[in-house]
Amino acid sequence: MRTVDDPQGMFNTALNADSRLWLAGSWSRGALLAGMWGTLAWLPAEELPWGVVQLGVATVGLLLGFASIAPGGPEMAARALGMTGLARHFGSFGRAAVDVPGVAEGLGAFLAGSLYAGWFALAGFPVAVRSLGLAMAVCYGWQILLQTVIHPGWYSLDIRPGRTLRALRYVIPAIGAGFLAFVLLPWNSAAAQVPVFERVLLAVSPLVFYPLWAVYDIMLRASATSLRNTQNLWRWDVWGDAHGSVKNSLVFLNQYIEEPDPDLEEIRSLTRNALVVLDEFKGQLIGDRTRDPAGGSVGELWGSVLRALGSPRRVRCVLDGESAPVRLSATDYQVARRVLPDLVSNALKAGASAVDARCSVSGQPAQVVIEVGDDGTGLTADDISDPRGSLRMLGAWLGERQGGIRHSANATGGTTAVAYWRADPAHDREPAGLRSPALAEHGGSAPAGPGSPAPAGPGGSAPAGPGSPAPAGLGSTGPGRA
Amino acid sequence: MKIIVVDDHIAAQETVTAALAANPATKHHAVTGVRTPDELHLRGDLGTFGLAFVDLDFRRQSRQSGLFALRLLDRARVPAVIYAADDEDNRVLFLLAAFRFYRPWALVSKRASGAEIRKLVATIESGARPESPATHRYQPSHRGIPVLDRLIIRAGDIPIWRALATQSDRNAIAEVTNVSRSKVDSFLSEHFAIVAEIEEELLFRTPAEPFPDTQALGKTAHVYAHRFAPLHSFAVEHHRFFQDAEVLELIKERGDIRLAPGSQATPRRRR
Repeated sequence: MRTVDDPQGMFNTALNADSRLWLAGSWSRGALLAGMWGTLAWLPAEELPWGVVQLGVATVGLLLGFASIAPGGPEMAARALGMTGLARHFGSFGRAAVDVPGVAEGLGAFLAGSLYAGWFALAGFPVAVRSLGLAMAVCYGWQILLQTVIHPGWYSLDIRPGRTLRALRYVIPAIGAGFLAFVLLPWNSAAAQVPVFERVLLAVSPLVFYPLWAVYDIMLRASATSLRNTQNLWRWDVWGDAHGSVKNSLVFLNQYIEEPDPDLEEIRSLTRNALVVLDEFKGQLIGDRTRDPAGGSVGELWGSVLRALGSPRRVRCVLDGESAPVRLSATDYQVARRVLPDLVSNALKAGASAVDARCSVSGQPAQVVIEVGDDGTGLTADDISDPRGSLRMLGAWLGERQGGIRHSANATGGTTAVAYWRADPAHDREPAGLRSPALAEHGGSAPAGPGSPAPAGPGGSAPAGPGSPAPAGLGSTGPGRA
Repeated sequence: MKIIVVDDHIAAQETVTAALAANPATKHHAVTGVRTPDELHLRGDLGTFGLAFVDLDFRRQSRQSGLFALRLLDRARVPAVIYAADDEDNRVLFLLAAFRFYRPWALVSKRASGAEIRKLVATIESGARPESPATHRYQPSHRGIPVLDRLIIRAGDIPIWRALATQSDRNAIAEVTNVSRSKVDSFLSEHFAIVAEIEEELLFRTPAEPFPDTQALGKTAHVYAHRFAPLHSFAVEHHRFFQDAEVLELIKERGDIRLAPGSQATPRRRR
């Protein structure tokens, strides 16, 4: 159904109900049919074969209906009936069509009703059983009509029903009422036993489908409206998030570039940061990233950094298992988002084939330490002394946070860089559940700094410590703040 | 002077820090920062700051908006400047509210250069109000009823604005807000002109074409259809503003506005 709220025809809402409606209808018809089989107990023996035959058609129709929903069911049912070509006519979900189970059930409903009333009704039923049986047969017919008139397939936007079918839909309730009226005419004395009031009521009952149909359409339109409204709000929300994260990162990058004499290393760093932010935004958008208003985990950041740098498959990059669940406050997370891409990027530029990283938050006052080891070519004296080199700039930047950066050559080749800074005070105000495992484990005692023995990484290639005093002791060596 | 930057991006704090550190004349200022208004709330030393840069929208970082930060700073008598982009249309109501309820000293774009930031800080340090042409758009005019007061006349308007964003049927709006349908209709007619004014004068949008034919629909249906769509779109775009708990709080404190024809706005204070 196309509505003003869904001009592009994107919301196939009704079709979601297709198989569930079909199954529910089939089970309720099954219960009614079982009841009708029960009424045969009151039938004299000589009329029993007729009763079995007349109910048999509806039973076969119902079984075919169940078969049509089971995987491979149509083929199996067609083989059982000895007509393999029949499988093509079982209909399919998601569209409106005249199919074999539907026709068989319609015919079955007519024959079942004719057991109790009509021109070949069986004479042997007691009045009460006949009335009850007739009511069940009419309910059975009702169910079939319901499934035909309010079939989700009518609303399929992919396979739209043809004009003839759509015209047929309008007359189905009237045809149903005509059929019932025909069956319920007092053809003989047996049929006349059913009270006139019941017969008239049952005969006109299918006409109720018209208002039901209208109600169904109103509800479907309302659900499309609701979806449209939600979608509109969601679009604004997503744009708000995109603006708050991605656009702002680019605005600050742009602001920096517009300054007189911008530094190329800083531009590179801000660009990498923006790429990581973009990856985080994708994670929030498609839902595989935790919505954490108070920062984020190192594991999530690590994944975004690798994807932003385009390196996860070319180089073996491993984050220490204990570091992944470490949670950082909003501020520390953003500092780590600047530091980690820079260190990993340096390792990749040094031609590393393996990069190992770890992060911890510990000490009193708390300090964040990020350590990245690689097996690359190592640093030259120029790399370290260049005042506009990325390491020097990063060190100065961390100095603003009472931190710094150190690097050392590994015994087995390559370099280990250790960046550290004073954790944001907000970290101390976080609920205990959000504190890093390291901090919880060590309590307020002195933490294991990068200089202390490092646990082996998952790949067994943990970088050697830088061999210098723990950064906790260097906390005041940075420029610091007033 | 101690300066605090209230912004979810540390880059904002760093931009201010770098701008001030780049010149010997402003180097002596100490810049610190918090990521959210909630963090600002937890600081016990607010009164020691001489200036605050405040962002307005904190998205995922906080449920509070910059309006709450402005309340805290106002209470601590710390001069505040709004440090936010006004290039996004859905910020305009936050800006109107900021200038309606407080007196920010300036509106500074995130694109502002280091030189502009230094000039601003130096002016404020001298005790003078900086020239900030951008603020004139959002400051309430001295005559007539402020735009925000006409948009939210009474606290009861806020639930209707919220419902207008999520519902597109007046019956549903009446139901969820527990008011009559005629009340929804009168809300639409009461707010139609001010929404058009904001769209045209602050967002520079072309107003919707007036309906040429009023005979095709019944009069009520026509008026309803005519007013509903623009107000629904407006409510969707500014959904976050109407959802902000601080906005509701500010409006409650302000009291209802009497809109007697020709009269000035007279807030009826409740406290």
